[in-house]
Amino acid sequence: MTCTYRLRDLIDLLHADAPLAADSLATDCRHVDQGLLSVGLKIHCLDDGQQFDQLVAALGGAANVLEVNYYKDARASLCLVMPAVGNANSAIHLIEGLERCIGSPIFNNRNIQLQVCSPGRLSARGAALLGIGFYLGSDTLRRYTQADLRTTFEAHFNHPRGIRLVLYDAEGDFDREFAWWNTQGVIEPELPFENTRTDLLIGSGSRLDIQNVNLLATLLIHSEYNGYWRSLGEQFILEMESLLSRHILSGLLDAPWVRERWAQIGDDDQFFAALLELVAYAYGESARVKQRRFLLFGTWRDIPARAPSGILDEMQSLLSKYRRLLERQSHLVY
Amino acid sequence: MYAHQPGSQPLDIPEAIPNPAVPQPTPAPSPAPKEPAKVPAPVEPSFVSKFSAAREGLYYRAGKFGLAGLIGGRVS
Repeated sequence: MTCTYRLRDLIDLLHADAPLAADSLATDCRHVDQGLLSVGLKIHCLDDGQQFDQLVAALGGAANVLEVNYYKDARASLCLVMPAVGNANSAIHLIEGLERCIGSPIFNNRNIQLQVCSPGRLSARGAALLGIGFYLGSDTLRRYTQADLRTTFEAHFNHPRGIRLVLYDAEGDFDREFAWWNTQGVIEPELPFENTRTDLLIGSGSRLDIQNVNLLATLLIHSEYNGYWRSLGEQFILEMESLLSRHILSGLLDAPWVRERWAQIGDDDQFFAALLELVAYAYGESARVKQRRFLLFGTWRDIPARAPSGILDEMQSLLSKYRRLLERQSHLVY
Repeated sequence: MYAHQPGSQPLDIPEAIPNPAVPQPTPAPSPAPKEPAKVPAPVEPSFVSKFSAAREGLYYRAGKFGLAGLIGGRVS
């Protein structure tokens, strides 16, 4: 993927409509927070994308900004690649600024599919944990069709990515000038990856989704690439595997959540079957914890009953726990 | 997702539902438009009301068997 414009130019454009978000971005966009990974975003627009016309023109025109990239959601009219930023909050501010600039919602908009990009390629098992963790931790439970996950790189000659929730990069441009916390707690000036990424198609996404994916990707990448959060990441993986085992979902980890070079025919379907199983389990869980209660004044209301052992509740607890641990231990580095 | 069999009711499974384990942000209540404060327009008391006020005043000052009783006939 190529991003032909500078973040500085985009921030200047956003300043007119969203001065607060633009100021915050200008200050923090390169800052790496608590050793978490940098965040890249792609915005796939499923409607005609007219709301982006002025912005794209100001950034250099469709030919330079959009058509330079072949990759997009197969249903999308356009895919806007955003420059990477150093932390999840800046990514959120970037989208909030864009929302004001184009005068249309991006978060939780069913016509906008978000893709969150993290540096480094995860193993197949890591990709499975990323996808499952994202799904169970999101504030929205979604059901999918394969059409939701088709991209123009599904059967690409050099970089086929299949029909998956988790995608590897296609060896395009990559901004590695973000701090990396190495295993000794020394802050290195650049990431240890040449140009590799692991992306997640979060679909119609929220602020929480971006924060969760950033946390999950950090723990998993650090555990696989010997970063500062390696031991925390390994501990997280054990707990996540244990959680899936308790719910008899361990088999999901064996599905091909990301398309690797040695993929086989039928892997797309095998992955999709695993995803459907996860979706069905989560929807069933959601129905179970919502109990209809008859209240006073003769009305029925849905009351979320927090089941202490439910997988959705457990996933939230796990994410909160590791967010806290990471925050606490990050003070040792500063 | 086709979850129904012939002869049974098709299941209506929504495309997306809120995760019950995540507290959903409640939309900020939009402030109700302020109604203009009602200030009663000053009304010039009419002759009748002036007379009634005077009569009431007399009634309460003089007691029900006094002058008010004679003027207004409000002896009960």
